[in-house]
Amino acid sequence: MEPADTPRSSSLKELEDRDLVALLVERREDALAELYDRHVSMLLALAQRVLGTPEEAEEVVQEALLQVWNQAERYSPDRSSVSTWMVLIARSRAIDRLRKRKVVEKTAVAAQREEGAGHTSPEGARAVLHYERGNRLRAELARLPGEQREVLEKAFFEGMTQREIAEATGIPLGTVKTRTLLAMKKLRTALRDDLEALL
Amino acid sequence: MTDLRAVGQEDLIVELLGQLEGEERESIDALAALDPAERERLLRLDAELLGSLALALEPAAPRPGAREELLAAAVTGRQATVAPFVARGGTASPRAGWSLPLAATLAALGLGLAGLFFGQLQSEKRTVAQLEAQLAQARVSSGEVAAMREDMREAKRQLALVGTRGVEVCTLRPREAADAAQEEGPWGVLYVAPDHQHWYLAVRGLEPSPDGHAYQLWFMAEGRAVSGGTFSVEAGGPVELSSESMPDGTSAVMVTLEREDGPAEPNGPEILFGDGASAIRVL
Repeated sequence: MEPADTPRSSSLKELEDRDLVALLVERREDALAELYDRHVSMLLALAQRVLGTPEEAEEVVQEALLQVWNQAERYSPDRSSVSTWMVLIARSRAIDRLRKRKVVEKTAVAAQREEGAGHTSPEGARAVLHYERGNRLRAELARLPGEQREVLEKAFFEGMTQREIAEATGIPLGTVKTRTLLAMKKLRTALRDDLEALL
Repeated sequence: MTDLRAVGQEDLIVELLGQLEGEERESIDALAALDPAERERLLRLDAELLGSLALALEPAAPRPGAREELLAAAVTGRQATVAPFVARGGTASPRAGWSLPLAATLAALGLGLAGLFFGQLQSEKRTVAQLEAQLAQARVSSGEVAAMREDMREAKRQLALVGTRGVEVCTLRPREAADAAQEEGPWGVLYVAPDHQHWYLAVRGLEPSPDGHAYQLWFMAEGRAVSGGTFSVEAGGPVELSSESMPDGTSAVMVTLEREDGPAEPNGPEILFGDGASAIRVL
């Protein structure tokens, strides 16, 4: 018999992400399944954006989620939200693979959506929140001057250092840094309410 | 305070905020002058901002069955720590990078190395036989069977690589021991397929890595160290890694002890080193 404070699978959908991570520490694979359902679409999109190929993106996301499973006890809610933690794990692995591959040219391509039977996505209110946050973020990214958006995307999605961005674009290093900082500051200001809600 | 580093989060923020010069310095000074709580809050906001960038992308649907594979892998305890080495789905094409630095010494077949090679070959054959026997008698869950089948396929791939004509074999030893023919201490054998892309590394004798640390494999290519991924070691346990690709121009490999998240460049102590010049080709 399960302890009273251990949610069964049927109630997992009502839990916050951080509560699911706590269940991962107890080796609850149904909690991993729930986290998968909530975040896999976003993680796959990120990995495909970085790597350019759906096959490698799948592998990276699987690796990242196994890392989440194996290292759940290291998650600290004081440091980041669960979604940010997972995104940065997946990004780190994707960038690592990208560097190993030594791809020079920009590999980012629009990910082709595959409406497969196994598709899962966040549900209900959580899905709406994700959708709205995504919309606001896209809108704010679109408002950024193109040169600021470019340096931010190169740093985040392509794992380029600021010096590499400067060399690739021919822009002085100091300008790259300034543009990056300005982009971060504008987004932080514009999206402050969304970001505060994650703290 | 190391959680952020564990996922590269703080590194990225430091990268974004920490290399400013001139007038930009003022903003950093202002940041540093904030009380620690407020500075922490700003860093947290920036971390969340970076983490949110993925939301701006069009969601992608996973492949059917991927969820079940993940859960099976989690339940059967297969570790993700060696996953970076596995590059299924990639297309390997013949490249000359590895062979060029080795050309001068390929003919020098050392008896000791040959012994290691044939020992490994026998070991792989035994592993395949054991796995096949276990699989035939298995009365276990489908997840365990799937994991066992994958282990067997991997062992067969490694066996095929080790037994391939023209495979190049390179030993890894602590650098100070490389010339001393010491019997003690860690060692490894790297097998590189004739396509100079597929490789298999067997390591023995490593101590378990300390908490917060992991061993990391590096390919030395064109003056740079390219990470081959991190791996953990259980007490007394063997380590076997493989992948379908290695960087062009790889002339040496090494294993270092690093932070668990695997830095982009080697910072920790070197544990093992193998120079392409010491490799042999099995004819």
